[in-house]
Amino acid sequence: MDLHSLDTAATALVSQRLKMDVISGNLANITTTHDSAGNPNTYRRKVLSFKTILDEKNNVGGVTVNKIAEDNGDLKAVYEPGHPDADEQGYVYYPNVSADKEMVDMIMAKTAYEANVKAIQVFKGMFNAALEI
Amino acid sequence: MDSIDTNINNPQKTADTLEVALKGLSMRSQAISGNIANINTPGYKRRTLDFEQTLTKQIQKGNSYSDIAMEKTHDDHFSNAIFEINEIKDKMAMEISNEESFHNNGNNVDIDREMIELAKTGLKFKAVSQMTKKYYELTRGIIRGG
Repeated sequence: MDLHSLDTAATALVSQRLKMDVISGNLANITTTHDSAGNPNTYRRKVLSFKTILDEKNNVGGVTVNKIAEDNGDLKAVYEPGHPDADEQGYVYYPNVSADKEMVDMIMAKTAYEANVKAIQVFKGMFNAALEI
Repeated sequence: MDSIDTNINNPQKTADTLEVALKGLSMRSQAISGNIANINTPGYKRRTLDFEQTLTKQIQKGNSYSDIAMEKTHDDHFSNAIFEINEIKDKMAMEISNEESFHNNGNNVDIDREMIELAKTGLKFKAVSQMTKKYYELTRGIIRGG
């Protein structure tokens, strides 16, 4: 009995937590119209994708973050002529972040995280049983 | 008492069987761990490990021949159906399931099934490790004479 299954579950905890970070970043920036330097540059939703890390011997493995990319979907144009960020037509471009979508993603990440925590508990029980032989 | 007698005559058999079961369950836990970790990974196919069938077959084969098993005096000799359970241990390998995917990202991991497999594997492992413990307690008792 080795500890690979615990390591594998740990990779998932790290990845799902990072996904949570990305989601909370999206939600926090749901109306951000400037970048960190203060230049007018509407925030774009960040999308995180996963990939499998395969152990060559057993062809099984954990998960890691493939990349964090920007969502190229259309920004939300809102007619606000008085807004300092409005263009000549009076439109302000808000980030393409949808609170509903982020909430759904958040539930998915939370469920996956909890499933892995449960798996870790079971594996720990197995190791303890093996130690008692 | 029959089965205990047989096992004491061939003590390695019980220990080997239990070892294969522990190894198999431990490897299955790795497969499940990978499946749960990759629950949201696009294109991931679930891994499975079935060792019970092979093990049962080998045990039956071993049981029916164990009384007439002959000594192997040379490595190149045929084994004459001596209980060769260690072979199973080395041959155990995970399989990639090609079951149809529920999701449109090609991932065929079903979290409910994995959690049930996880619980089953954990319980079985505990049962087998208890049996291993008891087996050695019994052997120890016999050595001490009770």
